[in-house]
Amino acid sequence: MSRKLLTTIVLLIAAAGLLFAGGQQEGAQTEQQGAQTEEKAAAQAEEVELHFFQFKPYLDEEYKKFADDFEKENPNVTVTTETIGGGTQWQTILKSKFAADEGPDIFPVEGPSQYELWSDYIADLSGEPWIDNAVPFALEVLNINGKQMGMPVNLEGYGYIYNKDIFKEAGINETPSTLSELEAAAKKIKSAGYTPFATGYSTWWVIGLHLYNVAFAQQDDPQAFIDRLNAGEAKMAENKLFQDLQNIVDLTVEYGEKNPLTTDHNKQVQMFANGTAAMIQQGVWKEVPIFEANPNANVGLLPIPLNDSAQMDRVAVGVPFNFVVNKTSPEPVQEAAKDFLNYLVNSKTGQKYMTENFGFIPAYKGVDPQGLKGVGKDILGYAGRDKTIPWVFGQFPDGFANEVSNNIQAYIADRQDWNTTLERLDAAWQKLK
Amino acid sequence: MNNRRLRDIREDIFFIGPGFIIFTLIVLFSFVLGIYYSFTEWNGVNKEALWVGIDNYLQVFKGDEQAGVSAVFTLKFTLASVILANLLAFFLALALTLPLKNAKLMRTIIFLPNVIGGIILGFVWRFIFTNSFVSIGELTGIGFFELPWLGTPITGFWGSVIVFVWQRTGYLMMIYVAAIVSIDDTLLEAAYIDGASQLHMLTKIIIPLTVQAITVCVFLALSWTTKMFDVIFALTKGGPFGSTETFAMNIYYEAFQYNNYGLGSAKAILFFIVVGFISTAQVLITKKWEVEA
Repeated sequence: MSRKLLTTIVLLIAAAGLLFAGGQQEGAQTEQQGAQTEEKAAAQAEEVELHFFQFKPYLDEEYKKFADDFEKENPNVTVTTETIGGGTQWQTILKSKFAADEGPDIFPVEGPSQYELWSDYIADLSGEPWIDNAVPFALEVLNINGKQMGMPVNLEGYGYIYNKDIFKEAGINETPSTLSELEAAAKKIKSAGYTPFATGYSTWWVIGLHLYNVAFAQQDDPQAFIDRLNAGEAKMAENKLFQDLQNIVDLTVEYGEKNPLTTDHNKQVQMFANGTAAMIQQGVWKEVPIFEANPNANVGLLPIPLNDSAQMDRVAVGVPFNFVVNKTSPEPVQEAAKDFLNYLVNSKTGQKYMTENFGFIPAYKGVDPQGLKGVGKDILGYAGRDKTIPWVFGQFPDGFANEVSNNIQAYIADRQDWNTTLERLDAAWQKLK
Repeated sequence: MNNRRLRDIREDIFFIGPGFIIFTLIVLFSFVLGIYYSFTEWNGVNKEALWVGIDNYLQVFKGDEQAGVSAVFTLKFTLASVILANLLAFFLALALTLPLKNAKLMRTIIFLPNVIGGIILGFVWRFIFTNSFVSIGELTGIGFFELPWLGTPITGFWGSVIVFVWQRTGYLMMIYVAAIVSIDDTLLEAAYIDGASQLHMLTKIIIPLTVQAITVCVFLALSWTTKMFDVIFALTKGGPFGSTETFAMNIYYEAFQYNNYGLGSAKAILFFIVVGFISTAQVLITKKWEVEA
């Protein structure tokens, strides 16, 4: 019996040995192949395969067309475009790709916290030709210790997207820019028979990123405030603007749809596009689906006011993401990746794609933003008048936005008062930072 | 004799070997790796993981409020879903083993939701709850449809239970159907001739002879519900305010959104122990009830 067991084990080990031997052979083979490709690369003008990963599903086709154009000018490069995003957790998928050693050569990074996460894999882009043309504040996001680690592409802005026709019908002639004005407008809209707000408060990022960002961004010096939070010297619960945030939450819930915690961002767009709701807290990215559902929509953008001071007349404009280059990719591939990025923002072809095909507000000077609709134009208008506040949610600790959304939802459901909400969020920040 | 033994061994390896190797690579290997990571601090991306001992385990027990909420939700969800799904499946099976005209067709229809993937199903039901129910409520004024579905912890909970029961009842029903059909007719006939009532036949013959199926079905339902992820992930995303977050989702968020891979692994290991304990206890208990005709 024990001999039988012994032989079984020996045989199993032998089998496992075979398996490993197979693995080794394979390893040797790929090494050989690697050596071959290197030789080839030296021989001819480097055949390069570039793996490009982006996260805007509605732009998949457009990016592929753009990649084709890039290939025509760089015949030695083959670009594979991969799009994963929208409702899916693209970050998780990216992680598993890197774990499987199939990390893409170009991928997006949304802000400083995500940079921290991926820093082992991100190449330095200082000295790239597009830096001179970029809007300075767009470069700041991924300027880490004086080195440019990512390439911004576009600017995005958000606030309350509003239906100009409903505003006119309700007799609102001046766009509201303070809390009281917004409340007065909401009253008029309600008596005209429309739902003033479709809140979308069941979607975490509507609350956790964009709404909460306003209280940070309206601080006199947002960066200093975050530093003081991190150092434990400041508290949100003791800050006037965070206390005032309660006003806008109350206002939108009072004048919002019936069950704010059951509607998500898709429902917001649906209610807005079919003309039942007059305002949604959303950004320029929702213009595409709005116009798809209603090509005749007449829209604009309003700021999110927390109180009645004049500084509330500013909309949040920021860099939604940066493209970064994988520094673990082979050298020639990294070079091709840099060329690809430069081609996107610095060539006539790339700029045409950015403005006309993608509908982006370019983060680069001297690019004529065609293809913009109501919201995009309003964002440019606010930017031109220097009436913008930054996006700082890229600096929230990982998971903080979920805590914000959970706690404000609990406030909306009458589970806790506003002060408790802020105190709990202070505790969450200290725990997660 | 020696030859024969060698042949046995060869057969063992031939039949068990491939499965064993795949199991080792895919399950055992990841499991051991998970145990290792549960003792480290790692964000899931960096090339190095920092050894921290049992810190992660201590952290789970002190002051992880959301993990507690998720554990309680998972427990309640498991209890409600396992009972409801099995009761419904059993009585549907009873009804559809009667000589009805369209029994086979009805069985197929009830089984169908199983074929749909969990994520799609979650989205479909999300639409039903937040759009269709609202419209029906407006048209008919029936209170049930006018509830804020998925917008409060209670409707979120029962919404999840409804979807789970709807999805899995058909599968369990098929197992019960097979068990009921295989009961020897002579037993029921004898009971009938002896003047046993329908209720008596159910409680004294049918249920005792289908306990084996009950063991299987409760086990299946338990393992589905304790590890529930996809349907609720698509249905509520754990909202409102984290009240419908299952423990599996909590682990996922911890590891992949909060980027605490080590802490997530520690939770997963603890979760494995608890689920293993519950499932074993259940099988041992229901096994005792099994009888043979």
